Amino acid sequence: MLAGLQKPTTGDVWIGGDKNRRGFSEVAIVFQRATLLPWLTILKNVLYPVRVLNGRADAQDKARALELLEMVGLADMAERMPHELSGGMQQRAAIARSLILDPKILLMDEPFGALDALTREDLQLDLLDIHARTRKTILLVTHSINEAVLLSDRVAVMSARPGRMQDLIEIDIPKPRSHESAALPAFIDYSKRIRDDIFGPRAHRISAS
Amino acid sequence: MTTTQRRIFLPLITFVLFVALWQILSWGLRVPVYLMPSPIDIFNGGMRLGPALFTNTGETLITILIGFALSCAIGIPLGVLVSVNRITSEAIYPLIVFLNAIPIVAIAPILVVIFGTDMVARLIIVTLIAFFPIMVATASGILDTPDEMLDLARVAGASPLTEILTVRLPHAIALIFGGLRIGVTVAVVGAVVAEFVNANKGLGFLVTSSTAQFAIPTAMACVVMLALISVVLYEGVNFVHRTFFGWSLRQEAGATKPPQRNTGRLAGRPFFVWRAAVRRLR
Repeated sequence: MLAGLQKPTTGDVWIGGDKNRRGFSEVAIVFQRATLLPWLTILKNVLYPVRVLNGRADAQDKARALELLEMVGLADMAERMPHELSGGMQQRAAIARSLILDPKILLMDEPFGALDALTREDLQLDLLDIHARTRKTILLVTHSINEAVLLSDRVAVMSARPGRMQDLIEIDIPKPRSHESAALPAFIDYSKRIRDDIFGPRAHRISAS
Repeated sequence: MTTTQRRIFLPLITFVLFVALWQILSWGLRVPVYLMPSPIDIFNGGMRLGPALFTNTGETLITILIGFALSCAIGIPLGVLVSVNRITSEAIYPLIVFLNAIPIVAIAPILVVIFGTDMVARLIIVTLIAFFPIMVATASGILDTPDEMLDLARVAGASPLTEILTVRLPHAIALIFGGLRIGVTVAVVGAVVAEFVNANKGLGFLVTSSTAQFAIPTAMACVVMLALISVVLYEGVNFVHRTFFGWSLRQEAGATKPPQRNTGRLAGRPFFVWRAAVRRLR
């Protein structure tokens, strides 16, 4: 709904006093899989939102795309085709693409879900760096409690049926964070609270029936 | 012997052995030339035609190429049209299936009466037979586009037209070329049928006229020439595919889901493939 992929049954979605979506300059998205277009080079993939919005990309856009690729560590891959990159690199390119138009909100739908565990940890730290540098509003959906606590300022726990927000937790863990933050007592407390939110009521319901 | 060498030499050896066996059997069994000419007879038959063999090949080739180009020009946009919109698809697809269901051999003489004996009738016949596989392949490719790519285009703010041009059509390339491969071979069939019923030149005409005079080796030489045209055009389509759209040969390796394609079934029963594709659309 936020991205404009679905229409709300009632009401509107307002972002910064505006309810119309104007492509990636408003809300950008990173999917579970990189979803790079296999017929475009990495550079052109990053520029794709610009092309859709303005019809063509000028030299300034290209410079920005290269800058973003540099930031995600893919500067030398700009002219490669997507299939030449590993899964982690493809996802980095997708992140660069999502930032090309400087969106107000960045949506990430389980962005590291399709990656192996090690690549995942690597990219989580990269995302923390990117966030520190760009200060973007990022809405990240994940099934990993650890990921949620590690990356977030605020965690909203959603219940499955009905899909409602069940709990909203401010994560007060000092930045910069690293995977060692997971050993902090506060980190463990937050994880426990989220786990209770998710599994507690369900266990209760089963025993009551 | 490397793999490449093997891939060239093995078929070549098989081919030479096949021709040699044919020749030996013709000698050994004393098969009359008018029943089944031997390879040497066929070669001589071709030689007897001399340069006429090549000028007529040229005539047929022009018919095939223009007809095939027309088929692409009609088939690809039509494929897009029937796949992007349910209303257009439901409105015009049955008509197209009906047109395709008409046996081309049956309608060819009628078309000649209507359009006369010049190039136009021949082109219509070729186009009528070749556009359908191209259209169906295009439609399947368009519908085969992974949802994620469409989501990407939509979030990026793409209009339906932009979505087709930047995502759906490029994604469909692999399947479109499948359709082109089928289309170019049936275009050869169409051209021959057209020349059977109306022409005073071309390989199809040579086949009928030679057979009428029991010049079977000459007719066979023309048939060999047609087979050569077919193979060369097929490989030509492959060449264009590899050279300009190489990325689509390994579409599975990218970030997209492995496309479930089955060009074999597409060739045989386009209608059922179409139904399945439409069901996915809904």
